[in-house]
Amino acid sequence: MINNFVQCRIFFNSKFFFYHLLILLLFQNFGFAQSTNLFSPNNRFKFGNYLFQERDYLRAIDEYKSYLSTNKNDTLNFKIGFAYSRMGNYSESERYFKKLIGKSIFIDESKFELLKINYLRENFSDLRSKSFPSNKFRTETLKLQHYSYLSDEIELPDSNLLFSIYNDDELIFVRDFYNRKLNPEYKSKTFAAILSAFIPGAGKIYAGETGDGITALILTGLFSFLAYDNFQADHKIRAWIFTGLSAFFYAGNIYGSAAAAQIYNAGIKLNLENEIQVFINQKKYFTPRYDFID
Amino acid sequence: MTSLIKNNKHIALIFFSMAVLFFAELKISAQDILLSQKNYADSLFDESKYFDAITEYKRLLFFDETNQFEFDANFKIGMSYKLGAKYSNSIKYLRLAQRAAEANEETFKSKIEIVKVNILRKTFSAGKLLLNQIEKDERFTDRTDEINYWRGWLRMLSDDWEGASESFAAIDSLHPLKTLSDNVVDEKYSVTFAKVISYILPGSGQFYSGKYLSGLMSLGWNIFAGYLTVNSFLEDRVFDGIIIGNLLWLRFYNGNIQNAEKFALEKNINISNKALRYLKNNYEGKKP
Repeated sequence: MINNFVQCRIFFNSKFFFYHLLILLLFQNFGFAQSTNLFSPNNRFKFGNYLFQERDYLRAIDEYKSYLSTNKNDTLNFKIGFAYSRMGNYSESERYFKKLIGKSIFIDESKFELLKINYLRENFSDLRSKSFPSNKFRTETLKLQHYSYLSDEIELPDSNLLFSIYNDDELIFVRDFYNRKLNPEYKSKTFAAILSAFIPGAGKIYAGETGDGITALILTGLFSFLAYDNFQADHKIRAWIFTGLSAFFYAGNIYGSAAAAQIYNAGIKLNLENEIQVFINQKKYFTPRYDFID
Repeated sequence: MTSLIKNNKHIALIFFSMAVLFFAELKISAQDILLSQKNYADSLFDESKYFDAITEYKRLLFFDETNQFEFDANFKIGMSYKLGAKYSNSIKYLRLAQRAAEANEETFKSKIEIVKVNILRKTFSAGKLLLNQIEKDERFTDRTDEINYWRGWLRMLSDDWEGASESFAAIDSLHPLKTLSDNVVDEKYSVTFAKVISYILPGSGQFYSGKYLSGLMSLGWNIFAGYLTVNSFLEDRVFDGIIIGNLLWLRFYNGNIQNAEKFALEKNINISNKALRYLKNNYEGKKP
């Protein structure tokens, strides 16, 4: 016991203790300086994360780049690539993801993000040509690759191939899009024109423009009657004027019916494309959840 | 033994004093750092570097653990977004400032700024609703003039010049913006009157709006089509009369009324735009 006291006394009285205390305070001050310098790399890192969570990507990128000028951090490089992608700056995004391939733990994540960029850039054939050796995001990759057929202009593959990868909830939509793309409810331009040639306005009604169809029928009928009536009354000039008008309306209606069918088809195509885009937006391009980003 | 305890006491005292000094320094320095960060952000704002100012205010907010700058920073972020024409973001941060406001003045200031942003982004109904709320708020009964001033602006920009005149008259019957609003009201053409006189005499609505050639053309076509129609009936060609009357005369008659309306509206838009240009370029009072 006495020995312990003596040892303590020696320790407290020694120069060692005071040097120790001095060093401790110096380090404390150093730590304090680090924590109070808002522009220190660590604080920029923390602030960058906050901005990233707030989806203020442009500012987050600035903070991360500043941190990376003095430190190495693959997570931040990935987040910068991700932020650029979300901002639509795909070339910069690609640059960051490509840097990560081959020398970081985010190889699979970066490869998936590069595939996603292909989808966003509508480079569908490139997207599908990429093989994905790792099993880590195999399902997500296949989902994205298969889904790209629906957005592409090429012939659809066999439905068994396309449907096999999706879960039940997704399949409801994918099957619907597939069927609508394979057998779109288009109206035939030729049929619309032929219908209008037989009964003026019928082609328009067939193309969904009922009001225009009825108007065309009444006007063509009216002018034809006027032409006939004036020929009967021997008013030849007026008769020919009305004949010209009825011929003009008749021909115009045939052309208009074909055009109406074309507009109808464009509407069907546009609606489907919008729905396909809305669905994949909602599914976030089948992006897996990255824990290091949340 | 006694000496050891005595020494320990001294050491403990030194250690305690240093710790107190250290933590006091820490607290004061943290305050100073946040204050200097605010000053830095303010200087960027004053230099119109709004993107950078927003970053630095956000940094201030992030590191301000005691939320002492919550109102100032959010308000300035809102103002920076407003000046950068990012109105939705501006309203988001001004609302945060409003929530963080402690004094009535701060609440009023942020609410009025939200009204001004609503004026700028032409969401007039939201601005009007908020002005009504401010007016009913008992804390701001002495700010009626300011409320009326911004209500006047809201009405001017929503093309309700009579309403604007009323709002400015409530501040001062000789208010320059009341005079301006009254002038606009006086200069404007009555769309209803233009249409009514066109019903009675085709082309007169266009004459009223100063479109004389159009008025003459309209009158001429209506006389011609009317003559053809009447002549057909007089010659017992009833069917021709109905067809010409419907397809020709009625078309010109309707066109004349629509034209009268269109020209009056166009003239009114020009008058409003002229007044708005004056407000933008020459008016020296407060603007949204």
